[in-house]
Amino acid sequence: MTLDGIQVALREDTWTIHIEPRRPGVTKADIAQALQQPVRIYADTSYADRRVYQGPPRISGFFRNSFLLVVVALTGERTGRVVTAILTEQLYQGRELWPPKTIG
Amino acid sequence: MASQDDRLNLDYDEQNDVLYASLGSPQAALSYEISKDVWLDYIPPKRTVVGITILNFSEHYPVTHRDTLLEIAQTVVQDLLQKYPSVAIDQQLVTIRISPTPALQIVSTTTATAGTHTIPLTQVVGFVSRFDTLRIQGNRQGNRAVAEDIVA
Repeated sequence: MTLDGIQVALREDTWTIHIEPRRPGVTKADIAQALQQPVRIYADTSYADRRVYQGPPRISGFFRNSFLLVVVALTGERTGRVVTAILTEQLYQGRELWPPKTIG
Repeated sequence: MASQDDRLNLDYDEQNDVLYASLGSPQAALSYEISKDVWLDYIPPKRTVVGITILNFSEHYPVTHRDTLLEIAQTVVQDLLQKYPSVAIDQQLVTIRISPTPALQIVSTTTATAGTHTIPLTQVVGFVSRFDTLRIQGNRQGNRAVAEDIVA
């Protein structure tokens, strides 16, 4: 369950065939952490049925300061599935959905 | 669905419409979105592109016959690799300063940044005696340079 209440599935074939071999160094735990304890949640820049979850920055290791972006396709009002995960240092350009903006 | 030749290694996730490409075996890398849905993979501090990930591949590159997808994907990736052999640098800062010793050298310090990585380069570019400080700041995207703080 994500911080914003979406039940997200990571399909076994998506993980074993695509993400795991293509993203060495990214673990299922990293994906779960980005979904459950995101630093930011964005609306996809083009697709209304997608959200992007930014995980916390890595505090050690070769890719220190980088963070994971997990792209989620919404499949229902409160359900979704992981599309892919991207390790980056670049902030996503989409509209921020969370945390809420405060004034003052 | 996967394809592999000597260098280009392709994998297409049909359900999620994601194309993964790597030069040789996939490596742990950072990604940089060069245009909507097109992510270049690189291993810092080098900027060389070692892979490409394209989200919503079939929407960006419509494929009429599914069995030609990997063939088209290979062409698309090769074109992108030719266009982007390395990850673009966000900003380049060049500082030229006169060092008082040993012989009033003009020292150029270049710092290129992309994400949080910086690539420093310092070199002596000449000798002068009239100015104390000359600072030039340039932005690679705009190719604009501004000289400031010139002290006679």
